[in-house]
Amino acid sequence: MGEIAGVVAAAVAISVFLVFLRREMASIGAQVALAFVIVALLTLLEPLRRLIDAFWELSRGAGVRPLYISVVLKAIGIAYITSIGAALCKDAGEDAVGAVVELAGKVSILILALPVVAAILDVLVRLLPG
Amino acid sequence: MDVTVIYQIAGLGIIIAILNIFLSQAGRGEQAQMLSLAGVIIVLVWLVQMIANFFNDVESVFQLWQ
Repeated sequence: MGEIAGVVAAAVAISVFLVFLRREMASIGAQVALAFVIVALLTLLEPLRRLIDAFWELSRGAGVRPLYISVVLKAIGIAYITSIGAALCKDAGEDAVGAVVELAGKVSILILALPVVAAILDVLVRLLPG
Repeated sequence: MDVTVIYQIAGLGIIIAILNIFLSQAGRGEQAQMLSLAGVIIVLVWLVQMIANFFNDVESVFQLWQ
């Protein structure tokens, strides 16, 4: 994990720059924060890919249906993107935009989980006749 | 994609902020505003490509849209 040291060093240096930039040019300060977030997450994405591959292997070994695992992974991905987007919007001072981004994430995760919820309700209805 | 992009953007922001201070001290407020707008747009064009790149990677890792 050599990339961790680079990410942390960049975070400290960028924080020092941002003290100046947020005061003098708030718009470019927000963009620098966004650029840092993107670069840091891009470096973390490769370990994450390995982690998710291991997760798939474990679930295949345990015999879980791939549909359920893929729903969980997609929900994690959507939560990842939308929480970062919402945090960046709030950082730039736009709380309302951030709240809408969070709402969009919740709605799309619910839509994603709809087949699973329907399957659970189906089982329940079959278990409780009448 | 590496860390130098962030330092480039931060450097551009500091240069534009300093030029902005000079221009507004010289009484050229409109040009200072145009300069800061140009800086914001240049960095935004830069960032949009990075965001597209990043979202594509997230989609491939979490296998969205499949």
